[in-house]
Amino acid sequence: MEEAVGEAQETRWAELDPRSLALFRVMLGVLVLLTLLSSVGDWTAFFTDAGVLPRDVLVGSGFADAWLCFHLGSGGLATQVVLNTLLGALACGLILGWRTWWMTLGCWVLLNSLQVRNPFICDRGDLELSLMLFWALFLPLGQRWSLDQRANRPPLGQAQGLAAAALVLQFAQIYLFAAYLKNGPFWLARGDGLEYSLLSPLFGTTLSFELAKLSPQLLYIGNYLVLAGELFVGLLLLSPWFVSMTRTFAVALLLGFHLCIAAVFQLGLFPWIGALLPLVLLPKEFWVDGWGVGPAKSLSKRLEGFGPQMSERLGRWGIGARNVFLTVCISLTLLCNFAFRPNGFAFERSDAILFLTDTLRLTQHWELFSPAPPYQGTFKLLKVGASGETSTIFEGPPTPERPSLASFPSHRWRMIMVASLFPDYALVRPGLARLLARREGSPPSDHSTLEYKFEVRLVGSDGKLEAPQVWPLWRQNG
Amino acid sequence: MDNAKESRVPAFSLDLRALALWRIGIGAVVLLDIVLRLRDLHVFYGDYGVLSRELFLKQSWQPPVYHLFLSSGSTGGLLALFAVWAAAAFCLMVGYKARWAALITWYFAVSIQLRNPMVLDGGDDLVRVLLFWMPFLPITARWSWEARQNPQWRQLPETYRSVASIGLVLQYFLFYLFAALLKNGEDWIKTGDALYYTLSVDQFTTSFGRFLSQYPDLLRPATFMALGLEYTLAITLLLGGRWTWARTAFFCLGVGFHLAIASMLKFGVFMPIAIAGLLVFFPSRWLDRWSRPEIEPEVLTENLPTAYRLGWPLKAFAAIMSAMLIVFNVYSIQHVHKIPQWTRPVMEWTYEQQHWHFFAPVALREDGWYIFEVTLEDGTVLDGWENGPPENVKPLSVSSRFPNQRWRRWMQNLTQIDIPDKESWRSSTLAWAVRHWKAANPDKRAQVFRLLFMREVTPDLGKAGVVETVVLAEQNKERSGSSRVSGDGGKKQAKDAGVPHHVDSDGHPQGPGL
Repeated sequence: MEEAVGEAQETRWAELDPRSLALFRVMLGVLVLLTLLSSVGDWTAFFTDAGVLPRDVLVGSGFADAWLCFHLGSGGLATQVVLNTLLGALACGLILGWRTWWMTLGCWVLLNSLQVRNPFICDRGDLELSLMLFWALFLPLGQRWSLDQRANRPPLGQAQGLAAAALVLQFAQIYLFAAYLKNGPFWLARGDGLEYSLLSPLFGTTLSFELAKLSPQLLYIGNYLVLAGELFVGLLLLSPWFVSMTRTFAVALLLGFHLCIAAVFQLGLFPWIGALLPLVLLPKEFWVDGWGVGPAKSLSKRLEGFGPQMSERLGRWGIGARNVFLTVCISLTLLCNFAFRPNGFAFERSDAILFLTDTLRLTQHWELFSPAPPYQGTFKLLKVGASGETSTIFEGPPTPERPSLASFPSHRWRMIMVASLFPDYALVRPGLARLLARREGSPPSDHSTLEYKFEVRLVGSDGKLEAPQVWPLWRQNG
Repeated sequence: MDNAKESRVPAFSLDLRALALWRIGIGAVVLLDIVLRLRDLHVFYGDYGVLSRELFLKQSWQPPVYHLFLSSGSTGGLLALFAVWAAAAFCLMVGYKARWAALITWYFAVSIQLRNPMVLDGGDDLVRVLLFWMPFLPITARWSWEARQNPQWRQLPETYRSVASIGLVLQYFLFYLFAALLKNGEDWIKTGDALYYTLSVDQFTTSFGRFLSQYPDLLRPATFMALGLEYTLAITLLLGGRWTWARTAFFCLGVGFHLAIASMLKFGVFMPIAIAGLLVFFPSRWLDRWSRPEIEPEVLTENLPTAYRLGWPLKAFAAIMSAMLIVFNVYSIQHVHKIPQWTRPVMEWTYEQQHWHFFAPVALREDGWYIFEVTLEDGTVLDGWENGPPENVKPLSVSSRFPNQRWRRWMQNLTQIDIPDKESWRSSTLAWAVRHWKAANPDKRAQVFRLLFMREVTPDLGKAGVVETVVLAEQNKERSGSSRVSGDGGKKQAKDAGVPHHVDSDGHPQGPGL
């Protein structure tokens, strides 16, 4: 009865539907599982002492300071298998909605532990997944379509109020700040950000290379459409008017946008995370007013009798404390996003705020292909023999001009190789080059020298590609 | 009931109320230990301390096991782990989900000991091996949260015996027996000078201990008495498995023995741990005076306290571990200390290896004090720890110069242990001291920092001691710079490895450097 009354009212801004939350729960669990499965063949390479990033190198760098990384407890594969299997089991528990809050907490803790073990293979999809798990801790994910509902276990969290607002704000921040950071000469001044993004072999595909051949005017328009689209979706999510309509429209836009990205760029799970997680924003009208497509509506109806609606478990003081905590967390994310602007106004945060943001794993900035698009270049790993003869172990990824070059071994390899370009992350170069050589069947030896380099064409201030140059990244014994 | 029957108890049995006292005592001592460790959290376990995770991972001796405390090197992360540990110890103390709490408390104790073994002493070994037996015993049957929820447990007889109770009694028996057996050097069994030498180690002694060390003739018979007492404790413990008077004698002698040691030597939490451990042998007669059961004992078959009836797998495991205790202790004797290969998996998974060589086989001779020497640019020489001129003559109380027992053990291991890794610990200790000193004295400019050990070997009776200066580590201003930045100054963000964001003022990606 209470539910029927609730469903008669229009969706409010700070409100999420329990069925959308249930879908969100399943998506979170599935995406955590996919994250694990997508790298399963490379666990030795990425998470053990025999891989690209031995533990002493990582902890000596200061990159593993802020979070409890249980994956650092041992350098062997067995521990990684045990911990990742545990994470997989927790994800399955989340999908089924069994002890949902604990499963969410476990997934959040262990996923972050995994990410801290090797931050250089992570992308924004991993960041978004981790952040969503955090906000999910305050939402009643197990209220519908779950074993918790069947067992009549009341959920922790509220689908209305600050917890729901925090999630909506997080989604809005991703797109608003992605647009805010596209402010350099590429995206804002010249409008060739999209063109160079499509041309970059680091993330591009055959389709992106083909799209880059479209007329410059079209690409120019597309460049600003991307920018405007990100801004528009962000604002749409913040809109307090016609909430059910704007939310549904925003979800559809995000789904379409990310599926396009998945078709055009090689970004691992990022597009899928970006496309599937916003489904949590589907308003209740989607499920009950005929907006929902047939199967979704029928699923909703079929699962409706799974158990009664459950009420909040926390008392008045508990809810008050949670709201204070949520307010602090939302403020921290806003400060974090505003504090990051590589070539514009940014402000400093105090050490205490930095510490709190890092400790809660809320650190985020959304410079997606911005302010500059990815590099136009290829990696080269060479073996130089004792008498000076040189053989190429790896050269890639494929470019529009040389499509026959080798592809990255996997998306995670792509991420760490791209990371190795930056001086701050130079610590990964030795391990990466050695392991890549071994992987390609040409292990390093005492009689030869490995050379790891990047051949790049930078974009000049006039928007034209400059002459190629070589960045020597690492040389064995050098 | 005749007196002869009353004075006999089932062999290797324990009193449920004494088990409860033991649980409360050990839980409280672990909590105390946690609080005491918090004082030096970042020094001994953090990335900016004397044994950072980076340094730890480069050591030659690290055992191939899972290290929980390598999960974090930051104060926040370590505090989170300590909070879980403290919560488990508190639950153990109050008897709430006590089996799990004991298991977690044991696991955390093992993990913290693995993280920095250089700050450990015998008390850490003892608490670890005692916690190991807790999940196998009905520690919540009396005076616990769980007992409150289950009033029918009052009907259980006070006397309890199982393979686990045998294991625990055996553990205590081996503890005292091997502490005595390992004291097989001349000082202990021939000349009787062991106590004189022990009390002459100023790094440990209290003022009372120093006072006693002036009377070597008095200490000679006391040496033999101390050794005899350890044997007596082992024997009365076994007898206490049959006669209540022997158990009372064991308890009183044990408590008195550890109190006497604490009055002469500074061993940190060893004394509270040892006495809390002895509570499991608290005499039943005394307990009867406080809480004589009003209900006639009855045989309960269901809703029994956890571990009251062990299943066969646990019984078998407890029996195997009891046997392994004997193996580990036998192999701790000098000349047979090389543990056989087949015991290694058991040792690594249970961390039950033990050797109770307190001041054995001979008493410690090497003594001395440490100076953190700071030479300022104007040539002034200071002791950075004492904020005054360095003391080249022996301080009145060397043991008081250590902030606590952990520091004492760490500094002692810088000089006593003979492995190559020692050099890196010395450098890291100096680096930590330098950072600490610079933070406290931002206006002072120093040229040279040195960590000195004023080594003094305890002289033979009637001879004068000689002090020798040993430079443990040195940092010169011209050559320094390898130390890590303190605080969070060296922290970097690595979240965004995905897309270029290192850009110059025009928005161009910068070229990387080697």
